[in-house]
Amino acid sequence: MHTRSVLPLLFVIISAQVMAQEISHEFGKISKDELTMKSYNKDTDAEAVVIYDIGETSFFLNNMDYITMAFERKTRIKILTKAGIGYADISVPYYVGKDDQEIVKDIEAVSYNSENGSFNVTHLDPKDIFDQKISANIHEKKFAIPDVKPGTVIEYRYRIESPYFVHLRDWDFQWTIPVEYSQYIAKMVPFYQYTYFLQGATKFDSLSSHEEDGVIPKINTDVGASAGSSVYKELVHTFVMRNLPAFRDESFITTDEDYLIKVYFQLSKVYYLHGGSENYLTTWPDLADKLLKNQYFGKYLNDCQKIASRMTLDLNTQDTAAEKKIGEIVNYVKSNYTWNGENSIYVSQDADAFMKSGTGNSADINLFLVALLNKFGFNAYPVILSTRNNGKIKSDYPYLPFFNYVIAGVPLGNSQGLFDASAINYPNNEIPIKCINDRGFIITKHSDQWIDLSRVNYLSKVQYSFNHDMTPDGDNVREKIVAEGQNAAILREDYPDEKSFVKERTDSRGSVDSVIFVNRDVRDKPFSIFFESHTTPDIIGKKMFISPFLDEPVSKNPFSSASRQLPIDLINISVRKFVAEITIPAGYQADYIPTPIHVDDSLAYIDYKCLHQQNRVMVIGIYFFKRNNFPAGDYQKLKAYMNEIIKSFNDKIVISKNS
Amino acid sequence: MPRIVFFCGMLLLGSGYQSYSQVIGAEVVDYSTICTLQKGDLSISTFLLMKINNKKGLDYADFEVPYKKGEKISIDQAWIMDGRGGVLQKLRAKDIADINATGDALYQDYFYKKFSLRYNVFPYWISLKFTTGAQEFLSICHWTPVYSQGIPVDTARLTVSVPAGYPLKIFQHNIEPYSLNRSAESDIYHWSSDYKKQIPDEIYSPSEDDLEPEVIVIPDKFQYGKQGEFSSWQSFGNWVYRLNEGLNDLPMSEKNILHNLLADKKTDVEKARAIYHYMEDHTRYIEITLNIGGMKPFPASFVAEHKYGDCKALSNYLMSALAFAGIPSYYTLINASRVPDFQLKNFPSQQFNHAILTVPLGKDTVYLENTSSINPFGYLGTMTQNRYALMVSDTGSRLIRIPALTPGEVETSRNSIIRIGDDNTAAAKIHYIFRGRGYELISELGNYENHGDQDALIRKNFTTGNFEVDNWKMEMPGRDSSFVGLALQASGPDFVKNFGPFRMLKYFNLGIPEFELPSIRSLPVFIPYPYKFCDTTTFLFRDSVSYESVPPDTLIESRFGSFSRKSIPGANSLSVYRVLLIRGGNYPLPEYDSLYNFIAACRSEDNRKLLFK
Repeated sequence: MHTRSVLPLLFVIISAQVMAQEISHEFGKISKDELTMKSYNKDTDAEAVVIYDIGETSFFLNNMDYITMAFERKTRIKILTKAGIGYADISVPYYVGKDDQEIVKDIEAVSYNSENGSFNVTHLDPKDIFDQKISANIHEKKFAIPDVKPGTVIEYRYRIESPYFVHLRDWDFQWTIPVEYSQYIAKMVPFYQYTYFLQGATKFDSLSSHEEDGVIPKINTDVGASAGSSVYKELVHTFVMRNLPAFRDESFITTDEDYLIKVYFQLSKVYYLHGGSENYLTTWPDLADKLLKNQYFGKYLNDCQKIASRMTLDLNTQDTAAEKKIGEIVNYVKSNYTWNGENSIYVSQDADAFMKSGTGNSADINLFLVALLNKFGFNAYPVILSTRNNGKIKSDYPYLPFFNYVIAGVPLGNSQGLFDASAINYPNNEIPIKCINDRGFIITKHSDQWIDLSRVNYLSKVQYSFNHDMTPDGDNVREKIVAEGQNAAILREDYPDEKSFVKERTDSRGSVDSVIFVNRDVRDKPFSIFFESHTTPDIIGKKMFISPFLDEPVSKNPFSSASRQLPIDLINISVRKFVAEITIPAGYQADYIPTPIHVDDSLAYIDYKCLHQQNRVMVIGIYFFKRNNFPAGDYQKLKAYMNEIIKSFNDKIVISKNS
Repeated sequence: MPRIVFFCGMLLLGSGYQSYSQVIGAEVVDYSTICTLQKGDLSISTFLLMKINNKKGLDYADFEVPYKKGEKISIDQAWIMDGRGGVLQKLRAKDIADINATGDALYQDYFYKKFSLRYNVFPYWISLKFTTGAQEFLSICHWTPVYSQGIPVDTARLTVSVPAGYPLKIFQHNIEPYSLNRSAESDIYHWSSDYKKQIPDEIYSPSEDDLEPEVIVIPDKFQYGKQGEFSSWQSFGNWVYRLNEGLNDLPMSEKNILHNLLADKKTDVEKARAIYHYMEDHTRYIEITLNIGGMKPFPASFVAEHKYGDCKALSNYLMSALAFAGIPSYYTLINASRVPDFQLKNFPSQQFNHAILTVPLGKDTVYLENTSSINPFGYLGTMTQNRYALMVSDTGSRLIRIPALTPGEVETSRNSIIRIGDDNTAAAKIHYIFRGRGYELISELGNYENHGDQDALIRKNFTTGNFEVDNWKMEMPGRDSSFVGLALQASGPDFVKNFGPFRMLKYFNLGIPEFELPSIRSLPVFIPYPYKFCDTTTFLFRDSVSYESVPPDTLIESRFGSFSRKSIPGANSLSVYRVLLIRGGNYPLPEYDSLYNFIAACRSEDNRKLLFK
């Protein structure tokens, strides 16, 4: 049974007099101000506000005398509207390893309500805490705080004891609701040295450090053994941020995780009691060397080199150009091995098992690709990176958990070719959109080399050609779409076959037939789609309104926000070209031909024009934004240009019967 | 706006839905299910022989085998084989993950075994056999030969083996009748079928259950928490009644609250309304699927103390609270879905995924949806309208018919005043009143989403072309009003387009759906509820205009609905009135041409434009 108590509000008021100026961060000490708050004055639209969120990591000896890391958190949230009630449903993820695991304990949760002069306190019953297996290694403690409605203040706390001292928990200061006060205390013992860095802000509102005495009576751990007690100084760091606004999602960004204000921690060094130390965070060259020795990376790569050396592979190309040969090799891997949808820098199986199953994660596939490229003398190397949804590489500190993907790199003259054999819909010499993020680290012996992936900017083109045959029954159009690069990959993903294309286009056109795909599965060539459609143009009075580009151009501005705070990441430069030929039927004349526009500045290129000769009209439009990344300050200009594109590229030609 | 709990668990065997390909990525050669009832234990063995033809078929090589807490499960065989039947690879126990089913629920005691049988030499074959066992069950099988919508099944077989003379109830449709082998020990039923022609994805088609071959076998009598029988809706309802018995344990503290709440309420309607609103204001929907396969509600005391529950718990709590007020009500099981599954009216069985409450109040009967904290009193909505439900009582359980939504109850009205500038810009004041599905969506948006998400969704969904929402305001009327207002101010350049001397503008459209051409339509049409849109638009021009072409006054009438338009042109203004009605209902395939023509005519009229100088 959970417990509930009803206390007279007077009690609270007395407390509130003391705390009205400064909200108490003591668990259970709720002020009248918090209970009666109707909206948050710094963000009146907020559905809830974090009053405090306080975390602390420290170390202690568990009952087996092993040093264990303890993470304690307590949080108080004011629920303001129905939309905020979801913040009372809590999940606490924890890690379960093969031989050891984290333990979540001391969960407490309380709701506080003030109603009709009473102060109701309702406690979570421990039997209402559920344990859920999310995956083999990730479990969650889940609970719903009882008696929560708009106006409720909720408070919860828990403790996680972890043997995985490598992973000192990072701390999110910013939430998707405003945060009044967030504090993280890291009590560092001298055995483990961590480094930290702050994301999303230039400094903490408050940062203090002091020493405290710490005593560990007996040490029986991997940092060393000691018969007697050890007295040492704990270094206590306190990080504080106040009055943080709610993080609101925006389009055209990599991932929220790149923009949230948070602090990251990395284990950098372990000191042993008996002397000596081990660097966890050393240098990038050391990290590269470690990875090359790792069973799930370098050893696999070596095994693949051996397997590759025994493989006979007839490349189709007679072309001796390196790019062509590499393309053939990438194509071979794409055609014969299958990505299982998982991203990783570590392989999921040994090389023999991968050869047998032919299916694997990005590391399984691309490390094999590196080996195969080397067999043909290309000096290939792995490049580790973080995919867009995994966020940017957070710091200059050598830290592997930042990375979640591996591709192959090959020096090509003065440049470097990058290849991903798991991206089957992309051209062989392009890496997919998800990989175009921040920078990649080249893994070779003693490497300190990076590739700036944000500068990888494949030109992606798509051209639409229309040949209009106007008849009294309507407009019969022969259309051709030719897409290259990313645009082709998107079309290949959208349309596995002609049938799917017909269905999609029929939904937007009157009828579609004679669809022919060319090079749908030949990923190194432009993907062409030929088809015919029949549409009925607008006929108003005696006038016929013809859409030269039909419904292919963008018709809704993707920059739909009124304002913009974050930079705009368009990933690639995408060139879109439209060419339409219209033969004006006999007996008709052109009443209106769209006016041309031409923009060519540092942001965009837009060119739209009509060439009208006798009974033929040719309409040509082309546009692209000149960079793949823009600062937020350019947002309104981009939006205005897109409006201009929508207006012009959807313009119509008007014809009428000769009078 | 119900939140749905699926009582029956998951029926899906494999994962990997992808569009049907002309080059078939995978195909099921043999899909056999054997249900064996012996000494009261039900064992269901499923055997699958699947051919993976190419890489496109690999999604079908990933499996999730569901089971419920308390059930036995074993993966008996999971092999990768070559064309000669040679075993290339066997699944290892360590490659099987045992995972909780998640989803929207806080917790469910459903699990699945997850594994992959991928290989890289094509074609290859997967031979999979798994068995689940249960001691308590409500159905022996609920079977279809459709393994997955995306791939064909060459041969599908169902065998049900029960002790000789064991009383069964069988429902089957779209499948050949069974054969029966009787012996002294057992009765063995056999069905054979296949799935060679994919059911297409077409707009407003009936539910898949209605279209697929299906066999349901249930015991005449069962033990599931308590003993029960499927001899009639009355008997099954009696089992539900007994399962819920004793759960109306409102604590005294809650009774005191209700007592105070009802002090000034005189009629039963007032009392019921007050209790319903109290529940809405003080509880929230949280799904926790435990207890008797998710069939048994948490008691009223649980909801009173925790202030949350799922559809069953909240309905039981409300029933208890109403009983305290002296108002009888009935726990009612229903199948909530946008497109109602076809219902086996004459086959009493567990066909439901949701619970509501039926409250007779004088001459009227009120149906209460209890999982929403924003529903008006007595509003059920589009997920539960127009279908049968099982009203539960001790001895009088029976099917009842939930009324269908009328056109007036689903009507969206829009009133726009659009001021056109000389430079072809436009500034519009648009006022919507949503009912039916629109009401449900906007009301949920206004109540359950934060302001940022509301703003993004409104900007995304209420703009067209260069038109942009400048500001907006939701107008939430009284809590028992089943409509919501949305006032928008929008503006944009180039609302009017110049074509030489002429200017053209397009009206805001009425959102008429586009149907497939009759030449490719293969399924009948089922429109679950009517669609009605009333639009009044007034264009105000800065100077007087001359009209080149005004869309003419029009009336299209058909048994499928109607479309009308009337225009009143003035020197400086033009008012246009449009009303669209598409009637709900079942339309057999032979009627499709007529329906299509009606819709096409309405769409054509809806796309007409104004030409003026």
